[in-house]
Amino acid sequence: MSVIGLARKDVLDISRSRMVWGLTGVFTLFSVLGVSLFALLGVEEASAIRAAEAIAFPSILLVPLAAIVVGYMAVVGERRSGNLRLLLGFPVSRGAVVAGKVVARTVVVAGSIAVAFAVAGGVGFALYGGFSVLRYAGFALATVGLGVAFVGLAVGISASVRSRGKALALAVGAYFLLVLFWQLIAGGAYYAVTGTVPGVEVPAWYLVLERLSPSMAYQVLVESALGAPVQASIFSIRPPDAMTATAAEQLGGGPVPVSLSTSASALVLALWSVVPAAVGYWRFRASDL
Amino acid sequence: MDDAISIQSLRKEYGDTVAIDGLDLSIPSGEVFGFLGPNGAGKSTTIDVMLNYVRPTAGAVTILGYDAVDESKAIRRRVGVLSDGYALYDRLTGREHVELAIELKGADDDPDRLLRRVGMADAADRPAGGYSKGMSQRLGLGVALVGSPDLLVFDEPASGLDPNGVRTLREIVREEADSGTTVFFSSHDLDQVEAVCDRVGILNRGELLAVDTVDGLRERLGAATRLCVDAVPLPDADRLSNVEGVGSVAAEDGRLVADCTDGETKFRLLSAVRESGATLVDFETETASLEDLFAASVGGSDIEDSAARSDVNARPDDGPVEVDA
Repeated sequence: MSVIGLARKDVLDISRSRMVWGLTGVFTLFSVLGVSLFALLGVEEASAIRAAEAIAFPSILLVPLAAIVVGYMAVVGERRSGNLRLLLGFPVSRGAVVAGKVVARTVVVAGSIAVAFAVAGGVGFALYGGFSVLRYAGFALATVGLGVAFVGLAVGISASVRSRGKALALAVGAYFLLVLFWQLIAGGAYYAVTGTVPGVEVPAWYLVLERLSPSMAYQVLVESALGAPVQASIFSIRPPDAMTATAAEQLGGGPVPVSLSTSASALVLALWSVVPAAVGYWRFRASDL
Repeated sequence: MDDAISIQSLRKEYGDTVAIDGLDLSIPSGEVFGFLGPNGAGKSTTIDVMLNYVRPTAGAVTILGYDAVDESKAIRRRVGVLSDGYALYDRLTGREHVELAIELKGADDDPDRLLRRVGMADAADRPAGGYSKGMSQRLGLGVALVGSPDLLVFDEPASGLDPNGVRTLREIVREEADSGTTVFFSSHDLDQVEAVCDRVGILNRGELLAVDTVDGLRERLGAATRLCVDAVPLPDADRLSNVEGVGSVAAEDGRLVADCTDGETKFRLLSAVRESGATLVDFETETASLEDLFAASVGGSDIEDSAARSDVNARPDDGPVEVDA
């Protein structure tokens, strides 16, 4: 009950922040640029699906960034300013405070994504004609899932530290680790185990490891929603063919285990949105304000 | 459970610093209790423990019959809080703050009535980020009153308030006390406490030095009424010190200043002045203020030290909090 009250207050509060509107504007702009890129360049194979793929790239980079910016100060900012001393004078638990933050910041990030996808979708429709609204909605939903994962992570970080600087350092570190360098790290692990660099064909454990990052899990979900491979990885050490290969192809044929299913990737995003927030709450629960 | 607040052997350490050292305190329901001490004495820490903002290192704190650590939510349902170092939400209006408090406390107050009561009706629809310190404090007061609490916990409630605001604060404390509300009023400002409190506790360096009524404290600390006499010629101070009930007599700025234990002594002293052959020009009496008592009990230099510290530290009471920052 109090979670909803707290979340409503928080949405009211940050929706009046210029930062949130700025982020929405930037994300919308990049999505529209992405979607109109092929038309602008006059590329022959311009199609709705390629255009959608062109939104996935800014999404993979910007959605986690936006979610982190929206979330990393959520608790620690109020702790430092003294807002929490006001809020915790009311009969609310610290768990409700953290949960309210996750809900509210998720609503805000989802709202930004909805605006960007609606505008980019309109532009895409004008440029390329018909495409499946259902697939596009699935794509948008997966993007919201990516946002939720990073909101949970950022709020979790925010709840577990005492200083803004520490929260910022951890949030930036998480962004680099999970968004930019995850595949390099996974590749490093592969090299440590096998002594070789991962190729197109890899063992199942390696693919599972790759998909533990919210960004890779997101890519799996987008591919599933669009029904086509999406090339949106950054800093991969695997051959380009691996990017467009299906899980079955990368495993060299044979059955694809449940741990590499689309649902598994959805679960990964869900865990990212819940586990860090739970850890943050656990650290925040009994700490001195 | 008759006590609104019961604190037993409370100890709170921040790292190596001991903020509260073996505090025992009981406050019966319906009392207006003044919690007095210089900045850094541990007043805010005590309040922070009462509200579960910080965890006690040792000891037990019971508020309205509930344990401060395990049943904090139940406590905060029935307590109105104006804590030290709190901040309003810059982007929310005054009214939105009151509405939030009403919602979270499950109360049914009329926001307009509350805002009027603390003199914030005119600024209610402006974002709190534009409020002065005094306006913020008025709104904080209004927020604390939401849900007709059984206990009001005010930490430095007068800070930032102009004389009008201070009057509003006193009126509210008296009105609430009249309706049976217990008020825990923490302040370094003696005038504030003296004006509204039934009983006063003096805290210094994490230890409770004395708890009594203002009058009782005066008596216990032996502070007396002071009589200043202007007479020609000025009688010899030493001769008058023999008068029964007179503590010390000294000549200061051409006047005699004498500490008298009671009213009778004053008359005896004035008679003695006349009998010495001097003509009485003028005399006045001063009642020892709580400030004198306070200075006597904590030591004047400590107060100055603490005051100097507070200038460089925004929240001196919780100075050492950032141990792992």
